[in-house]
Amino acid sequence: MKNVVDLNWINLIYVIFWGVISFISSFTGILDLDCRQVVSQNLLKDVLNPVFIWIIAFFGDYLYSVFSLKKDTQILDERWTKVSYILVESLFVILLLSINVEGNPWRIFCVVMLYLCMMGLKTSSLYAVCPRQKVASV
Amino acid sequence: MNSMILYIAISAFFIYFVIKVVTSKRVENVKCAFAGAYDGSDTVISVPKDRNKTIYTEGETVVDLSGYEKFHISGRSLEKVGLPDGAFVYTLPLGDEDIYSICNRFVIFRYDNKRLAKEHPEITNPVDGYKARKAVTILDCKMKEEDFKEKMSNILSSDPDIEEVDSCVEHLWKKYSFASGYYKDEKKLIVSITYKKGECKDYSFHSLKFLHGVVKYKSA
Repeated sequence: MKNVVDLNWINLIYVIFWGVISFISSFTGILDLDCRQVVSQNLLKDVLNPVFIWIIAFFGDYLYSVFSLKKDTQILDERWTKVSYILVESLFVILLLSINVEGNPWRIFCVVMLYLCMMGLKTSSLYAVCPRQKVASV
Repeated sequence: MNSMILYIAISAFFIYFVIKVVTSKRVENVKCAFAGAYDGSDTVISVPKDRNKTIYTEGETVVDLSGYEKFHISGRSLEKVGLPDGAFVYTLPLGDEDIYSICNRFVIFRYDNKRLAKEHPEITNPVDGYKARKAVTILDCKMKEEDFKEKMSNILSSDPDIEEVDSCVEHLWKKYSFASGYYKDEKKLIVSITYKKGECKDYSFHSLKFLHGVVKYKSA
């Protein structure tokens, strides 16, 4: 695992911070411990719209990280790039599912999965671009 | 009003504490390997730590250096042979490799302070550290004088940096005699070079027991 990612608590706190911010802004009722938004008939309007905006924001953040890469000192981590592709695909599939599913357990499941993918995308925007050290064999 | 001031004060202290902790932990300690004589500087340096793991590339090829030990080269004594002051090197232990595979490679030795104290009693600041050298060849520990001088003459005569081969061989025989006497239980000695103060070429003899690692990569 250590070869894949140098997990450090600063990155962890950063991702959790954005997770909490996006969660509270999407579920404003959570501050009053009111979960009616998730199980309401207006799920799409009340929850999925702000979640969708956060997905776009995190995706934009990821794209910015990738496109602002400095070639001499930075490099894309292939494994995290693949993870990002999978996460973006999963996000759209879950979004489509969440619009069409009926029943509260499925809705909650979809929202949880959306959040996990969003946090994954935020994490990959941190890890996809790595510092590059040029070496020469001697 | 008072409680508001208290909240702000607590928040400010908390933010200060978090920033202090976060910024103080972002360094990596790297051991120094001294090219040339130990100069009294730190044996470990702190370098800023990257947020993510570093990916090493040779050309456009990604190289996995996860099992390698990193050293910071301190001193200019190997600059002439391509290892400048401030470079980072990545080493592996010799392991099962043939000892002769280190010839013409950079190597890292641990300091042998007992030998240093005996050979150079004037040095009063020994440290438990590492030194970088370039290995030249491997010699038997119990060579006769004529065999040693013939072997070293062959090596030195093809060395453009050595002008007076005979006097140099004589000087090296004294160093070899001391090393072979000191390491009398050893079978082989490693011959290595450095340039004293980056200028004057010198050969030295080291025990295999103090060979810490072989340099496989250096920072480009």
